[in-house]
Amino acid sequence: MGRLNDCVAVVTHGTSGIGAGISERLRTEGAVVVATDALPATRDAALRVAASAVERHGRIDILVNGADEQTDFVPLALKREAVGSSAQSVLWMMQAVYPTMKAQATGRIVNLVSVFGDSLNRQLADTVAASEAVKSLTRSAAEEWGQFGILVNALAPAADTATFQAMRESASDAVDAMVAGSPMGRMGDPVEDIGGAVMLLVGESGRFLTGHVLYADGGQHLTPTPFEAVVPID
Amino acid sequence: MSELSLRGKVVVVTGGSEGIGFGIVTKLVMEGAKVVFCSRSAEKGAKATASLLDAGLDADYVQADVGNRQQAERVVAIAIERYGRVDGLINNAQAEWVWVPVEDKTEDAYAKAMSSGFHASRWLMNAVLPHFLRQGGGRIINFGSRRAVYGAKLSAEYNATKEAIRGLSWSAAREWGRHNVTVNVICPACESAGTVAYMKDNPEMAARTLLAIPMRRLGKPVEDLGALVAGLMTDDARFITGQTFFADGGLHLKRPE
Repeated sequence: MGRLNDCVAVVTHGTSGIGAGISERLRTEGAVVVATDALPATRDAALRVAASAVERHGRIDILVNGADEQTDFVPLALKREAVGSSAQSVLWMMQAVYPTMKAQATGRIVNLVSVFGDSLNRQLADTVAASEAVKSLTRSAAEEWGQFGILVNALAPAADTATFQAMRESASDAVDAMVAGSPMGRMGDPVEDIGGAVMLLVGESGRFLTGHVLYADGGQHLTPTPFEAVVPID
Repeated sequence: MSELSLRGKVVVVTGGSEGIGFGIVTKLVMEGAKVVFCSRSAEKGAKATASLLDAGLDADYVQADVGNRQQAERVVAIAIERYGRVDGLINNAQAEWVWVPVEDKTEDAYAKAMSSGFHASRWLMNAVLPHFLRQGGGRIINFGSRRAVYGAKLSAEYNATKEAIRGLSWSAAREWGRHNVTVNVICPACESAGTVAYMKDNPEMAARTLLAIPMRRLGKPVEDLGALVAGLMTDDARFITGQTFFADGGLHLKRPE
């Protein structure tokens, strides 16, 4: 018996990394999970994902938008885009599930965002700006759709993300020290820790929570990230 | 049994006789936790105990003014005496504010606000810590306020106390995280006997308030606030610390009037 029996969840970017962990957790809790490999590249692609989920399973209770973290890891002086493409994809996906959730008078949306959004970063300007845009879209959706029973929150996970892996490759000692110095002294497990945080937001506990940016990070957001050691400026 | 099983867990709730606190006590007991709750008024405590019993629920009431250090510590001592452990602490107690401007606040108003809210919270946090360390972890939930986060007018002593509680919470989250102790803050917007009566008497104000809430309703003590607290006591929340949960249907997206 699961806590999400009879629920249908769409997880974009949900077949690898943290997204896969969240998909696994939602399945374990009893949900039917429709996971995609990537965020939709077009509005039509987003509409197709939602339409296919409804066609096959009749409803959409949960949308989790994974973070694609696309960046070229170059300094700000060389960045081409102010905002990465994922913000647009997240908007399209939220719009795609909206009519279904509105008709159901219930729905939960969780948008994964970067832990670096409201602190410093180096060489990640485009992807972090996209993540900040997603936070703002989250608040807009919370405000406009709350009256229809659709709750929208953002979740910033500290786990083995692509960005984190790249940081670890460039300066493993500094990154290990950062993790050790964070309050809980470890990174999150995608299924238990990040999946658990998603369960808080999509389950009974999240009935009255909307418009938040929550961290599932063992308190890492309270501590410094040593970008000066990880990405030295030439 | 519903979805958030708390069987085997022992939770202390302050200010638990009415309102949000009573909703939290009720939900925690419904989920199988052993709950030790306190309040200043033994009369209200007896009433709360009776309504729990009517619903087939059982919790331990302790009469205590947590604004007094010895009495606050005694609540934890009683939980340990009865159950041998404590897994959660919910610091909900807080004196009401007096509606006057900053320059007219009295020393007494500040003393009451700080002792019932801030000092009580830290005394109780310190009292549960040794037990959390012995057990390998624990959960603390303190209560803040959207009024305080944004500086609402005419409640300076309350606002200052609530923000002091948040500051204390982040320090404890950082220092105690390595012991698997999580510390989070809830800022609620919830129905109480007071708000329901006030909204009935002031329908225009009530309509404006509800319109400011994206979900167009106030929270329910058991179903919303209780469920959030119960969820934060489960394994789902084991990696979440140092955060503010606005359990307010999105009201926090707007600044208070």
